Amino acid sequence: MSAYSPEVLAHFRSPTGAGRLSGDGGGRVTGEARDDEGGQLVRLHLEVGANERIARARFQAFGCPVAIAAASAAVARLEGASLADALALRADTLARELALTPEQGRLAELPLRALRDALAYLAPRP
Amino acid sequence: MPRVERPIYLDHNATTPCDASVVAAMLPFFRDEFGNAASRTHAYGWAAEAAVERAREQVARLVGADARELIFTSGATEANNLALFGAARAARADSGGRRDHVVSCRTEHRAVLDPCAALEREGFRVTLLGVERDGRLAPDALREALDARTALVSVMHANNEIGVIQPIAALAALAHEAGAAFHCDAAQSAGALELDAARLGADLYSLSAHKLYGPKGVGALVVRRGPKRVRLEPVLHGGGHERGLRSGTLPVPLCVGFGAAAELARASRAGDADRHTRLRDRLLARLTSELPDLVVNGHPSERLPGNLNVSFLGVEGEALLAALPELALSSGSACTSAKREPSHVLRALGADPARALSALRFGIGRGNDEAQIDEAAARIVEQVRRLRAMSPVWDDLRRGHAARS
Repeated sequence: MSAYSPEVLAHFRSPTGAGRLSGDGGGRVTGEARDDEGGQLVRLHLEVGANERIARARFQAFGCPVAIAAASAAVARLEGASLADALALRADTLARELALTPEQGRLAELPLRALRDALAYLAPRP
Repeated sequence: MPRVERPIYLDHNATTPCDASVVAAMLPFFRDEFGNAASRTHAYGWAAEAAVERAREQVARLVGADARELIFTSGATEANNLALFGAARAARADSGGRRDHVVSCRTEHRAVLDPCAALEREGFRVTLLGVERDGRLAPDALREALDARTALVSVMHANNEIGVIQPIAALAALAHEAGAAFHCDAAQSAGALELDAARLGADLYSLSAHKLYGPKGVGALVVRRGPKRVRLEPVLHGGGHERGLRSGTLPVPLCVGFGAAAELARASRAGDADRHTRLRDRLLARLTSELPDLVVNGHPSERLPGNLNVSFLGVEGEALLAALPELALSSGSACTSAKREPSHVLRALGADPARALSALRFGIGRGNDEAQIDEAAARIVEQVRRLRAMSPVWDDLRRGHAARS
């Protein structure tokens, strides 16, 4: 039996927003997160508009299908979201959406840690 | 009903299919010839005993041993346990506690490393030697580790993950000079390489049937005879079967299957080796002609004929496996793939975690042909390209290359 849920495999086979942001634009930030064992890596590339919304989001991931699916599912939710909504996104939500096992659940935190890492590079708001 | 295509099997280091002739040889011993080989009072037992003794000769012949030197076990894991616990405990007892040191190697199978860890808990001193970057254990490294307290040295013949063949004859000679016994786990090699127990020089060899197209559930420990025969303390007690070294009713059908498989391997081993080497080289040539940045893990030629272990830099092995449902392969070893840890064998070669996690193991065997190899290579190339396109590790590697040139 496959170790991966159909939801994971769907994202893994046709991910949302894989790669880097194309073209040029302002308000771009990049953040990344590694798992505890140091092997898996998720990187997020965001374009944040003046309206405090994530205009575009892309991911790069080196990891198992769950890490890739989690990054893909996160990007699908982040693109178009306000920064407040983005920061409110929880790993449990991604884990439920992807039907992750408890063991796989920690990988849903990678894109969210990458998000916080990226947003830390934004100029501090007054 | 539409026929469902099964994946192309490229995992022959994990297990091999039981040969049809082996299955046929076993069947009578599940049915009419059901006797217990230890029953001395009737024809059922005599028939079973005769079959077991014939199998014992067939398996012994495969490795140039005498039938009296062969102890049937449930597999190579049990044979390794019997060798390590049996020889180490006996040597310590027979030397009045003076020999209490065991030497092995970081790239050994868990079935050797875990008993070593258990021996350490029993008070033995255990030295695990590192290997060269190509996976070979340098005899000088062993020489430095040996001392007058060394009871036992255990080094595998061919590695299950990277296929690398160790210089057993040289290593065994060093162990013997130091007065230590030498055990060799030959589970991977017995069906694939010419193996002459006397010429190779170990005192103990572990064998497995299911790695050489025989049934799962049976293996053997070869205990070489002679003036310096290694004494073993049994691990299993209860009836004194197998010269008192391995109690328990013999699985007659499995022993018969092991014998038939050994007979077959003896006849086909040389031809198989040539064919599997050609297929392995073809696979590597196809992959390297289409994909940059592949690293072959382990010695390029001193390895099992059908084995190839490659790191596809920038792509995680589990992801690549999941992207290739048409192929039956493994990343690292089957035993480590349940856990999310880089393979201990690849780490011992000095591979960083990213390279270790990028490895796939190919095990080519009798059922494979050129068309399968070509199809496998084409699918791998396609999926490596797809996954590299979304990989930050690959992105960094490419940018690093660009910056340097």
